[in-house]
Amino acid sequence: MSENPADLTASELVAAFKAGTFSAHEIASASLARIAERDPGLGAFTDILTDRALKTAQKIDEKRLRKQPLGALAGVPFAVKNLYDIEGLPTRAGSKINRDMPPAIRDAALLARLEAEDAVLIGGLNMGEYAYDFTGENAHDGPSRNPHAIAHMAGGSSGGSGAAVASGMVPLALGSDTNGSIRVPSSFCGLFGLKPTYGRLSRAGTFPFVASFDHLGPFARSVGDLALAYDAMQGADPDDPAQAHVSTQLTTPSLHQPISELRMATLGGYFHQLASDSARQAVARVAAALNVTAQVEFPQAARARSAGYLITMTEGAALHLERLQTRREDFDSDVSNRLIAGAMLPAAWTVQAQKFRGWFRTQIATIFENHDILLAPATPYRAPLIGQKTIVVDGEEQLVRPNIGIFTQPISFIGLPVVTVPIWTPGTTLPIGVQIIGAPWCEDKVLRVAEVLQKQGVCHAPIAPFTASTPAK
Amino acid sequence: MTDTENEKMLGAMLPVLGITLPPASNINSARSQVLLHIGIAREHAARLFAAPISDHLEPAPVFTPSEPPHE
Repeated sequence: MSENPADLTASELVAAFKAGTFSAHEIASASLARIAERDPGLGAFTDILTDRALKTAQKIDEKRLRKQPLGALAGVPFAVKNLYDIEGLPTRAGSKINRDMPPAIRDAALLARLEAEDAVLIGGLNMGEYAYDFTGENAHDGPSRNPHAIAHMAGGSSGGSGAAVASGMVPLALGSDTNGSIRVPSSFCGLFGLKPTYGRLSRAGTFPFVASFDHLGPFARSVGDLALAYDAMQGADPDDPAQAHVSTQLTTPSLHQPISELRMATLGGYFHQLASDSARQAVARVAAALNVTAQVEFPQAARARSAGYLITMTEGAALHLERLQTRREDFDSDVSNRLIAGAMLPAAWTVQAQKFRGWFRTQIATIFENHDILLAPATPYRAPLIGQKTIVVDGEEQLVRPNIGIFTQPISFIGLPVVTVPIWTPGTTLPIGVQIIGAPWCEDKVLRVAEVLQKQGVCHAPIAPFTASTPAK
Repeated sequence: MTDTENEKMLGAMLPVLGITLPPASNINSARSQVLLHIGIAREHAARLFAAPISDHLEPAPVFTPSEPPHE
């Protein structure tokens, strides 16, 4: 085991803390030291909560000293995307405007649940403004940089979450995913990321983007850590009206169960045609490891993406209309221009898009009658350079920003649970993610498949080496 | 709709929405970029409307991905 707690996963830290190898104070201090060393070059953190973290850690150490029961995440440092309420801070949601809001009077529900299991909040994380972003570039706080190659995007909008975990500053971070904002940074930064079923986890105390698509979930460097965090965050919360009435389904106890009974297929058609070679190879590698030969197609996946795109534009515009009227110049112009365009769109388009969503859900449900798991690329390519505007895929030049989410958007459009697993090709510095997609409420199955892949060594999430500049091959 | 018609729509809608935008000075100006995004949205709408959508589908105001499993 490493002598530096900042090198350990959350599960390893819990074991080391409970065994007395490290105190919670030592673990939090190691995390803060790693942040001091690495964050200036990465731009992952917007708020570092040293006093709060050390006080929390001290309380947990005292619990252990008194031999009181310890939580499932005892001593684990974590950080949250800055759209989560943190008591005492304005919830900036990546914006300049929200910094003028009064400080949050309590922590977001999921943050509180992690701390109830004795995890230690270390800070708030950078993100794309108001979560309308796939790049991790923020006009006000600077970009979150990819720890594996700092000239490259961390991905967005939960870019700080991706950069913080991939660099070993924290073993666990929370993000949000409206159209891909957990899965894209997981893919670009080489991490495991879980986007649960829509309605599974409480969103209370977080700043919304597109309420009918917004999901919350964790990033980690192991599948076991995802399961541990996810289990700690489940449970009914009347403060989130969209939360479904489903009972808690713990995933850690079943994580190591065999997956031989699961019926799996890769997603072809749209998900193959629009992918780069690196994305296709990553899916093929996962499929080969799982002995998956079947292929299915989502009917009208491109249409689903278009419907999701329109709903995002119009719902996002409705949310921000007053701010667009009064403080347009305080937005990142890339965000405000899209939101203003969204405000112009006919309401009939959005209503029809929502109706199509119901149709699409029904079609995909029939696919899940014969399959348990579907495999697809998380992003069409590896992380582009920060500021890169175009990319060539299959000999064709296309815009980067609008296309990063083409494979994530049709999945979150109907709220399916996904674990993104990181795939590395020998000789390359940057990873690419594969989505392990399940039927609604089947987080246990997607986590079990990811665990098998991790155990086989097909995917892994190493801490990026600390160099001032890591050039990508 | 043509680019000119998009511009007319933008000009008519901005006062309705209470949003002010300076006149377009170049391709990177806010007005030009908003028009670009309206154009992208129109492409997505064309794809959405390329096939009929049943009159009987429900536009769920609060979406659930499926019925939760019965306990």
